[in-house]
Amino acid sequence: MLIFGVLRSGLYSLTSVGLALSVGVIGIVNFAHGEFLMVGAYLGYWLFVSYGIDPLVAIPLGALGLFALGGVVYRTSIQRVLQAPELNQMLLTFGISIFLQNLAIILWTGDPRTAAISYKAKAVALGPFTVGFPQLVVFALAMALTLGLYLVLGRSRIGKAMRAVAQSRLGSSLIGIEVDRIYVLAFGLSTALAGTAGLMIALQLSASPFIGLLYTLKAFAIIVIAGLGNIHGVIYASLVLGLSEAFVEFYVPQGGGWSEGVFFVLILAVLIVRPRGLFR
Amino acid sequence: MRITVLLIAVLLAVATLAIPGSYQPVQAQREPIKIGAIAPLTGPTGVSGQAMKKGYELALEEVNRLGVLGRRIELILEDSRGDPPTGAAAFLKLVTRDRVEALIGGLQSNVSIAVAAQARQRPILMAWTGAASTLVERALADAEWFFHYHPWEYHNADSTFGFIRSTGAKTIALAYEDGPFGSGSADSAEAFAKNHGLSVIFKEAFKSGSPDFTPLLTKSKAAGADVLVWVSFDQDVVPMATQTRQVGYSPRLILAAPPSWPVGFEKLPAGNYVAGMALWTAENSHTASRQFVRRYKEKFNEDAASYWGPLAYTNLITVADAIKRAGGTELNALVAAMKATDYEGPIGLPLTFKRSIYGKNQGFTRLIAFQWQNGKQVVVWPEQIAGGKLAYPAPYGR
Repeated sequence: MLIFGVLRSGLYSLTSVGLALSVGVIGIVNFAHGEFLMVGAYLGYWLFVSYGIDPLVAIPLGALGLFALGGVVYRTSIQRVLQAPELNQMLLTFGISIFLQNLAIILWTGDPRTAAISYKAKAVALGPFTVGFPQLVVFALAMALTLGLYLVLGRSRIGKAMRAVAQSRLGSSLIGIEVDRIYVLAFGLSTALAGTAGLMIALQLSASPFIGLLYTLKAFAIIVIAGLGNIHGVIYASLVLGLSEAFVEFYVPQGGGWSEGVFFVLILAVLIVRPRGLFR
Repeated sequence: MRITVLLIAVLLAVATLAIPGSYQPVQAQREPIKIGAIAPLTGPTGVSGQAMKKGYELALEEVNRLGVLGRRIELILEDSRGDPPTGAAAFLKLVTRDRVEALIGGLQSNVSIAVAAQARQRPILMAWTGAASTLVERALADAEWFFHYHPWEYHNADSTFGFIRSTGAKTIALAYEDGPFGSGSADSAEAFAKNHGLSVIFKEAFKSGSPDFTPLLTKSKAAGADVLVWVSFDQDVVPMATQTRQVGYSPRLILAAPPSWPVGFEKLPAGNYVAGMALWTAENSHTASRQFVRRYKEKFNEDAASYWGPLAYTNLITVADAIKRAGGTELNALVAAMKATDYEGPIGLPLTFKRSIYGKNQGFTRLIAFQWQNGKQVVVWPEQIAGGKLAYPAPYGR
């Protein structure tokens, strides 16, 4: 169960790190994050079915496409509500989420679509244990991307600029940082990460217009556990959620039915006991 | 001169007949018989609704070729969008504004409940294709004018366990999504299994949409039942099929029961030998079924994949036939004619209407079992319409 829980946390981490970025840098609570993931899943499905492109190979193309989509969404909508009350921002992203979901229903109907990738059910031996190969790949990718993002934020000029903007929009603009460009970049990166998680869903599961909400909820639980905007805490928080779910599902009778309750309990516990997050 | 005029008249008449679509049979001159239909043409179940629409188009073409009592059938199809208030509004529009003489269609129990509430106030012949929940059956229990085609949920359960018994299996592991769909099936599962001499040795709920079922499947594997019965929505069958292989879980048979299958499942290697239950599949070997599949392909240039197509076809054909036998659309005569229906069409099973537990006129009462074999839904049960042999024990990962 330990291995299953750890592997499950890979997809959670990949989903949440983008949301942590948009909350941390732009300060926008993006309810449409799961729908960007859904778009990524459809992109992965479509590239595989139409051109035989493996979702793993499609990552650069998919990330670039979703980055561009994020940029357009930012310029046309998010940018206009940055100074508005938080409730307006949330309603806007909620509206984008509903729009994208319904657009997907119109374009592809409500039926789930699965890409029949040859190694979808493949298992590999890790010592005495057998684990799913796609899950292992997703976990490795999630760790690499999250650590990569952490390094970019910590070491590069652009990353330092993002952190500066996250701390103070006014102060950053006073020292010459183009805040709006940083916001576009951060939002684009956030959607690109969600899209990459979507491609990994196409690799393991199936694409459907309705998959977004569940991942948005889990991502919110993870960033709350990590501490809002805390990028590297996302890995640990994903592990907490993945392991908790796996243990509850296995050891608690009828545990499968409780799995969604786990993250609500975790959010509740963290908000009451340590509101700034467990890993901050 | 008179001969020239006569010749021109004859030539014109011949030319008119030669132009496709310009021939108007006598029946077309009379007022058509209006039949209303409600189906979810858009929304989450839009794929099934579109299949229904195509089934109706095929039936309408056939019925109007000869006409009914010298009249054409005019079908007015309304989109319920899978939404109960929209379905109820469609009923009111069809009955009060379009003044249809019979109502057909129907998919989803929640929409059917909303339509049933309206229909009780304005009785009309209601030849209803789909709703499995007994809530609908109870709501229209005393309605002589309500004819139901799709099996009820207890018929589904009875067929499922009847099929499992036929395999020689003794024990079942039941995993079900914890919403009304899965829980409704799970509640009565043990009783139905017992009736068929089977025992449910593992029973556990899960959340639909979860990306990871490995803990549940590992527990189920430890229980060691002959058959894994997986009651879920479409999206859950892919992780189930792949993750059973990943955890090395090879029961003698995996039987999944989603309302429909994900697009692309037929190409998924892990889906091979997974069994399912349905009212009909395109691999059905019945002659009428094969004809339907061929005509569907010819007309729409796509394969008939959903049972809602042949079910809708059967729906309209039988109502048109009842109108013919009743000599009109007077409700009592039409009800009597519908009760006398005896039709064997593309579904491959005879259709007659008999009493069910609560309802007065129930059509189909049995599902068929199929097994995914190399991308095809091969019918394996009941024997009389089987198109292939069940691979049992199924070679999952063996």
